[in-house]
Amino acid sequence: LASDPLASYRLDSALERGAARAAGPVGWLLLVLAAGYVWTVVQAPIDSVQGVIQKILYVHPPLAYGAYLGFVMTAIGGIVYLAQEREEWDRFAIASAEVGILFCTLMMVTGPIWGKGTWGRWWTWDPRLTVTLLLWFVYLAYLVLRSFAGPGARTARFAAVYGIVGVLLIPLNYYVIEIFDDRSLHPDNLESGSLGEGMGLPFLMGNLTLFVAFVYFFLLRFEVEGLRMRAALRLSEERS
Amino acid sequence: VSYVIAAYAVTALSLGFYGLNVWRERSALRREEASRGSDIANHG
Repeated sequence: LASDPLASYRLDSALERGAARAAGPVGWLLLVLAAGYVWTVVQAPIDSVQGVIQKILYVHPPLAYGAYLGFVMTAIGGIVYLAQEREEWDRFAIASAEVGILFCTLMMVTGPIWGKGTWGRWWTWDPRLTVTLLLWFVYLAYLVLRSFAGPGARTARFAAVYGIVGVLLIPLNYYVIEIFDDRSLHPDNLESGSLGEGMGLPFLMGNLTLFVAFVYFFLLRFEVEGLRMRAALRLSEERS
Repeated sequence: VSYVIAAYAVTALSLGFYGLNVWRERSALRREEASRGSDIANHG
């Protein structure tokens, strides 16, 4: 058993116990917020330029912020893992990447729907869209790597470095519109006061609800990663 | 309107489907772990 990579895992950390306890209340909060979110989006005023399709604003950027958060948390998990070699931080990184890729995928689905309605086409090789696609591929590759490479410190170390390097794409993704100012079709990044009257509350509710959804899914997924590891450890002990 | 409905429906269904899947896996793994724990308690 000593040569088994699973044998070195320290399980049931305070971080994981705290996450498991927090999931229930966060789930209930999500249900309440989701109801308020739907209400504010339905009640939001119709944009005078774009019409009703502008309401995608209340879901598309919040999904992007969730994706950013997931990938930043993947990098944080990687940094702490490399510094402390505590396996729960590797599991923290895996859970963050998975929820991040979910949000990134949905951002890349809602964006083209909005684009089709306003630009008349689903996709264009605009700098923001291109870097977003690259970001999506980078973290999809991270998850593919994790699913095929199996457990062990070597995989965890490589994935940590990969996750840290990958996060450098986020500032590029955010500021690429300003870098390619006149060549970008994508709207500018939102600034304070740039929303029309009555649009602030649904945008706030969208961000709040999808942030809490992110936290809830992360807490569930983080616990599952620990439970999977313990199940694998039990199986390994039974076989030895 | 159909584009707006599509965007919100895809998001809600995907998040709901993902959340349900992870929640069900967590429940199954918790049950399995609990049953292992009671086996050990019963049989030493």
